[in-house]
Amino acid sequence: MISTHADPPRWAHALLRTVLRQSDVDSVPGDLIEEYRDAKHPSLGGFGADVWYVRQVLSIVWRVVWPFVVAIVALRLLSFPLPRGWNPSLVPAPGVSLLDAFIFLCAGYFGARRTGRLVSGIVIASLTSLVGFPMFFIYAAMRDPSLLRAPVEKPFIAVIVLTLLVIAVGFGATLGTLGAAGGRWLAPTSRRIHTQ
Amino acid sequence: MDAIGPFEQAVLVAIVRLREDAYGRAILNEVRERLDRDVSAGAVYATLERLETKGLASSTLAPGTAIRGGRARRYFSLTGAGVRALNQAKTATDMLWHGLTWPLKVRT
Repeated sequence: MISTHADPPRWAHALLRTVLRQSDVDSVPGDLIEEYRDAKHPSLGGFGADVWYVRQVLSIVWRVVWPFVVAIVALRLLSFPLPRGWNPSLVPAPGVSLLDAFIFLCAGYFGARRTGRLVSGIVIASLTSLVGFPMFFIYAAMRDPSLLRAPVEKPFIAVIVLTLLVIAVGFGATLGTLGAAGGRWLAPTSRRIHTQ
Repeated sequence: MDAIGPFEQAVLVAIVRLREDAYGRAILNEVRERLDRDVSAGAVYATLERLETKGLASSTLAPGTAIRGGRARRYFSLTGAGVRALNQAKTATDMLWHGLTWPLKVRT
């Protein structure tokens, strides 16, 4: 039985629309919603269909953000063995260095240029920051596994980590906005070829 | 002409098989069925975009249906270059296997 009134998670639908080109902003979500209502919701139920939908959205979003995530991860890996000061930071916090800023600017520029919308660049830069942030703590936990228990044993550490996360993602979003402004107004939007 | 990869071939062949019904959702399901594995929407849509950029496929928008909330469907078709690229890929695969018996047997 077709679930014509079932809807996928709104946040996932909104995220999908922000990374799509204008020419795809109807057809791609339409395809996923058609599969969601016609096949996934009847066979998997509401929760299963939602999980399926989110996986498909993340797979599409990943195809857009992966170059910048790879750049951020490479930057993190380089920063550990190299001496301090090689990549200056505006404040003593992770994810707010000069090279981070450059990557977020590029992500914002690329995102806005791809879709013609500022929000695309901001979202792509913010996601890049969000993915890059945990790398610091993954490395620290690899060096000292007892750090994994620290947020549980001392909840105040979780507050500090969340604050640093907000700073990092805010930095990414701010630089992404600047890059997106450049991509939106300084360069022509990429156009679909052979479209009628 | 640049050679096309295995996944690009799978998507182009799906478009050929589906003929006038080759829109995004149908292509995704056809590729999954033919490759007999889970294939993400991101992989298929990225490949369709790349094929259009290369000039191997083209697309048109058509009116949507109620189940899609009225959202348009994008139908894909092969260009002449796409047909030639697919034929070349098939010829290359046939030449690779020429003289060999399929399936191969493991030597013990």
